[in-house]
Amino acid sequence: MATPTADKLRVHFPSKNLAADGDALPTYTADAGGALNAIVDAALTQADGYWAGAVGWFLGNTPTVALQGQFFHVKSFDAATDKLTLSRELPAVPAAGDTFRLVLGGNWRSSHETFGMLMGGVLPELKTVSGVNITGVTIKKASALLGEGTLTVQYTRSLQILRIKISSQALGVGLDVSASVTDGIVFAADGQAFIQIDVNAASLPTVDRADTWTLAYPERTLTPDYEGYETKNDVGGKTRYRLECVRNADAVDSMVDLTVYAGKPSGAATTIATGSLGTGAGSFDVADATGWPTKGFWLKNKTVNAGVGDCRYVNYRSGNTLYCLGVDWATLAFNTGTSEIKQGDVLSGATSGATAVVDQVVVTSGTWAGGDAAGTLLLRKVVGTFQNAEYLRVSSVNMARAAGASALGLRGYAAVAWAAGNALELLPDVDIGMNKPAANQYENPAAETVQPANVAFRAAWDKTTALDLGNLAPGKLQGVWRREWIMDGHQGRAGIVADTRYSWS
Amino acid sequence: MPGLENGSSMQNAFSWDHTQYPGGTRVFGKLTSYGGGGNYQDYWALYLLAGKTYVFQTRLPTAFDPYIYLYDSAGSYLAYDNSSGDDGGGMAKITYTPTKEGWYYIIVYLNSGTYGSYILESVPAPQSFRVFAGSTARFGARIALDAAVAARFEAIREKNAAGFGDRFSVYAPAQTGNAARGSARQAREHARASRFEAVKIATVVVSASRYSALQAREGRQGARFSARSGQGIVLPGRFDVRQPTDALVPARFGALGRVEGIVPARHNALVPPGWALYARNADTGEVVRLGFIPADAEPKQLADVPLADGVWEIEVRPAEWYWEECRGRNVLTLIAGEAGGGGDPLQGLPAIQNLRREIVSFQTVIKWNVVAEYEPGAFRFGLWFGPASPVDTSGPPDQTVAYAAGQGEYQTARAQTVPEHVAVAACADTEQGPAAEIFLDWDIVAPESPGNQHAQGTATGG
Repeated sequence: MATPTADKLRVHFPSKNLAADGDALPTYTADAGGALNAIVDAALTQADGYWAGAVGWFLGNTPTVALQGQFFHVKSFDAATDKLTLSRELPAVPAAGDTFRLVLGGNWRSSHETFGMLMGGVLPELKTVSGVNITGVTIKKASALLGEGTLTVQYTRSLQILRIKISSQALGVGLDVSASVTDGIVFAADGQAFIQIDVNAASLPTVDRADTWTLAYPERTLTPDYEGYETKNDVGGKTRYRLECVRNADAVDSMVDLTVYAGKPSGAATTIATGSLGTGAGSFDVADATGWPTKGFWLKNKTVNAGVGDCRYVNYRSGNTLYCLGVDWATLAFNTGTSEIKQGDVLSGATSGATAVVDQVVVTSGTWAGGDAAGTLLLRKVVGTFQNAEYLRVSSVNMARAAGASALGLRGYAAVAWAAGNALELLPDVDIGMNKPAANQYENPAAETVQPANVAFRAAWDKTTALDLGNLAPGKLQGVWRREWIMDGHQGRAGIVADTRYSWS
Repeated sequence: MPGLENGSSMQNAFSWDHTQYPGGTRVFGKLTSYGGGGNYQDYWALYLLAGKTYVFQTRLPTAFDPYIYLYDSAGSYLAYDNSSGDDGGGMAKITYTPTKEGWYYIIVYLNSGTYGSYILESVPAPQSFRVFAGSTARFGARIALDAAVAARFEAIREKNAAGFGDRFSVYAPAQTGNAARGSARQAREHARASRFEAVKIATVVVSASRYSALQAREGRQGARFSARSGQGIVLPGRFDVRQPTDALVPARFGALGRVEGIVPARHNALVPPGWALYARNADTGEVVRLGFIPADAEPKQLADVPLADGVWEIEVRPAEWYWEECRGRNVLTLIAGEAGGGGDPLQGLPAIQNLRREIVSFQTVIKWNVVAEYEPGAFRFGLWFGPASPVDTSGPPDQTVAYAAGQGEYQTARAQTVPEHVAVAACADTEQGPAAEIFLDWDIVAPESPGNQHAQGTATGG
């Protein structure tokens, strides 16, 4: 039984408005009345706010040239005016007839794959990429494993093969193009990075030829920016959730021991040299922070909590001195829920006087209507400590009772004190969690900011911490959700790397 | 010629007769014919010990030019010679050190000349079993050795039996007729029988309880069966020799890496455009975030911001500022409360920033900064000097420096002769901004360099 090659793992966009696995993402057509930061389309018939947080893009052949292949992030959606308000301005006002697509949430896998590398500033999935020297070849996808650099495609007439290489690396194995090819895969020397091409054999040159492109990582094609209205919202921050649908496209062989982890900022592990840190804001010195980001990154303490660890958000760095934000997020178990607690509610403890803003409500048993709802709350902007068994109030109304004291912590870690000598390493900016679809249907949270049910999130940043997705049979699906944790006061930072890297045998 | 062997093969090799020569080092033989069909070579069986060096050679007067060959118990050739003998005259000589104890064979072969007598020497003499025969303690070992080469023991037994007439005439001579040249096979069979008799005799001698004839016979039967079983055990040993040559299990494979795929997900974290306003209490250092003014807000102001009584520096930070220690230059000093006029519109004077002293041409130069964009500029800077801190700034300043619109850095020289403190503040006719103060050290003795030099960090006020 062979191992499926790298081109067999296909990652697709989902969308909450699809009806079945493999459906195409609807192509919407803009109406008149748009603006630099707004798109109007009467075909968008969903409710208010339905598309908030969605990622969208204009098709590569949309009539307004300046919008071709442009990505955008939806800030809000107004049902009455059918208007999508965008997080930032487009390069041109969308005109009537401009076409675009939208992606949001989970639910069903679409037929559209996530995007690979930019080739000369163009995504080949959106606009045709062809060389100037090798006629008859159309590139349809460049895998991210190629990385940044110069891609060379070489055609050898005598052998009638196409080969590729990255920068100064060796050429890979050739693809036989003695006859026309559709969706042919040309691997680089490592046998894993690839491009996907169509070839019209009759149009190939009569002599040896080569073409080159500069490859770059696209931005905001899967994860939109943390917008300014999200990084400073005065309600304690927010969490966002996004799904990528993974499919084994091999017809015969399973992917064995499929694992995935997310990218993280570059920088070596170190230790706390001097100073300490409680759960409040504070600073300390590390032994060596060379190469670390200068602001707005996550740090894990690998020593505390019996090796399970703890994490902090580093507001900024000055040399080896790190200045961390305080931990004002907490989890709180509740029971005897009689009135529904909702995201965004300002919660208070009837006895403790503690206050917080509700970020997530996870009901694990009972119902609100039955007066016995129980589960866990994820709270932000926490002031004080909620006490066990006290009433939890919203606008002075008792909603439920605490089933334990609130526990401070970020991204699933229990916040504890840090001390000199503790081992530190950088954390990815996103957490990931597995969602194996039931009958090909994924979890379908109500909004971008609602955590999908039955998905456990954690940080995974290398092969040892990778999320194990098990074996993936031919044609089968798996899902990976991302949790993007945005602090209130999150620092601006460009070029955040949150690539997901899969591997299998 | 000893025993019943005829010396014609390894199985019928002559046993070494230790009685023929002092020390048992020589035996005497005779070849009776030359060429095929006759006794043209003799086999001699010698029991050699491992690690001991033996010298075998023929001695004069030997009647012919001999070859001698040396074989091990398996019949494998080890060495030969025909002309190295110490006596010369074509005598043969082999020096050999066995690595394994056991039976070896020397063949005396007629190379040339006429047949006749010869002398074969072994120095030291090969092992003699006569000694063992009288030692019941070592008898068991002897059984095992005899079992491996049956024919030779019979010969020894024959000699032993010479002293025990009642055990000599049993079967061998009667069945074979000519014991010395009869059937080799029969000789061996009888040898076994006789041999175990000898064993039993020895056993009887040391064990009085086995003296009855019945016990002796029973013991003989049992011993013979044991010997046959022992021969059978030899087979597995040969099988082991073949096994290594037959064992070959081809196992070739490659180590393949895991397949990988990446889903690129790059994005930015952005902050809202605008300005955050902070107030810093000049006395306590407390910092209060007053609020945020978005870039697209009109008018760009914060209204109804509560502030406790005191002197506050108001700082405007762009949204992208992240380093708390970065002090903005757009600083206004406001006096809230009665000191500021009790509710009248507040007026601000700039805070003194970065007050410092430099030595230029042996003279003190006092430098400070204020926000360059401060408007309006109807004020000046006052400097007060005093021997102790805080410096009294209630009176008129000792020196003044004029404010210049758009100028952020100021300085003035001080003819200093003693250590003193200086306070600097912005002041107008009706109000005075917060003072900053530093200590100006002075000594006529130059400091040592660089061991005791360090910064004087004294500073007060803004």
